[in-house]
Amino acid sequence: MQDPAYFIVSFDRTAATMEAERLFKARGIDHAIMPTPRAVQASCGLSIRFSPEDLEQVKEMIGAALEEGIFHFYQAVKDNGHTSFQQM
Amino acid sequence: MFIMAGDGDARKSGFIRMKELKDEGRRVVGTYCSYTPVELIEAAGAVQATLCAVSQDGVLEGEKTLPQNLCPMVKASYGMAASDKCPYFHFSDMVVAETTCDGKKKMLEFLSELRPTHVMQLPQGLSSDEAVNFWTNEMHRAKDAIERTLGVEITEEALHEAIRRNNEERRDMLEIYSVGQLEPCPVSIREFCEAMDGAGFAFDKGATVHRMAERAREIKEEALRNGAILTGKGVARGKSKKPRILITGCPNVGVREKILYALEDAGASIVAFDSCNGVKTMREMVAEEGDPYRAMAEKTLKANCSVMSPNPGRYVSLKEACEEFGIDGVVEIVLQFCHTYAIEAVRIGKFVREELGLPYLELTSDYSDSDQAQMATRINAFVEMML
Repeated sequence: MQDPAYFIVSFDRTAATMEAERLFKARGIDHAIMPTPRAVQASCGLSIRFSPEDLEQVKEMIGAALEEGIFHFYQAVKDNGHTSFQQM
Repeated sequence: MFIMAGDGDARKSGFIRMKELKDEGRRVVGTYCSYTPVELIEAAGAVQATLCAVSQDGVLEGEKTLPQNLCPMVKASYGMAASDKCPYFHFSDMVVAETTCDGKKKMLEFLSELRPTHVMQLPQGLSSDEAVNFWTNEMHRAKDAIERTLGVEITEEALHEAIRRNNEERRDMLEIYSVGQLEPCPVSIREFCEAMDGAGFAFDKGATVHRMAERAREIKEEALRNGAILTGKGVARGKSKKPRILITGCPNVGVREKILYALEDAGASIVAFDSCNGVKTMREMVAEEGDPYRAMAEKTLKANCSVMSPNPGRYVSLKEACEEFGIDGVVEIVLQFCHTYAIEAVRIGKFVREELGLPYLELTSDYSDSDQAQMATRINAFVEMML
């Protein structure tokens, strides 16, 4: 039984993570900074986690503000208690 | 049994904690080496952060600017900082580093273009009192630079308190390392490394290390009740259940998987480190009486790093560690292009084989996985020989 639990966006540069966090706060979108999961390789080590219902808004917001190629979206899927990440 | 960090990836959890501290207005000082007087940073009210220097990703970034034939640690230090992939560097208000080796000191010239960087000039040898006088003066220069850059005052009182607290932490670390004296050793190297990361990247480090030291005492008591013995100089015992290995040489965090974990997978037990992340930097305390600057200088100069010429203290420390931890074999890790450790390895190898009568293996490697199979073959042969 698969359930799309949440989404994360990871960044290649720490400054990009900080800029994205500022945008999440400014728009009032529920989010949490988290260590990038081990399964997700390309990253500065920090990611931002958010809810599935905010996906379109977040993609539009990040895409408009940050350079293409330095951010990566992943879908976290929980399957029998195990969380895996699929790149979008 | 030792694990403290929530998800077993302490370095990344530390990033979050670091960001929280920055949000609270704390100042951060990034460092690389055990020659850095952490007491000065603590006395300035700042948080000390060990900067990223151990990934192949960082090496590739570093090679965009620096020559390829440099040690991977130097290339990764610069690469992670310049590509903004090291959050600890990102949040650092300044860096305090040393002219430890040629590669590092020239790399720091580039790093100083990215962040205010204070470079402490390290003496090249310890054969006269002049080295201690010179290094004491460097402690004063570092104090002035930290005060000026962070806009703070480092008081004698705060410095004495920082010295006392860090000594306590060193004693706790020695207690943790002493678990390795148990035969058989109940803690795997994977577990030990993760626990050390948990301590290294915790920003309430003193309390975390203290809890781990208490746990170490419990582990020892339990093991001894169950028939384990505590190795030490002159302690008679039979053949080890698994060959007991001491790791010496260059910093080894970047080659954990292909060397440390491979040794354990081959059937050995890593019980002691005589490198920067081992007992040798913890044994010496900073004197709590007298001039604190001279005391910090005297302590840090006892790191027995191969950059010192000559470096007689390393042989004494290695012999003591081999006796204390009941060592069956010594593995020296040399990072490619680290000339001082590579050259010293010739004499260390002779010393270990002839004076200590122990098998010795020198492995030269880097952070890539291109020599993984070659390392595994040599490691397997070395361990098999001791079984």
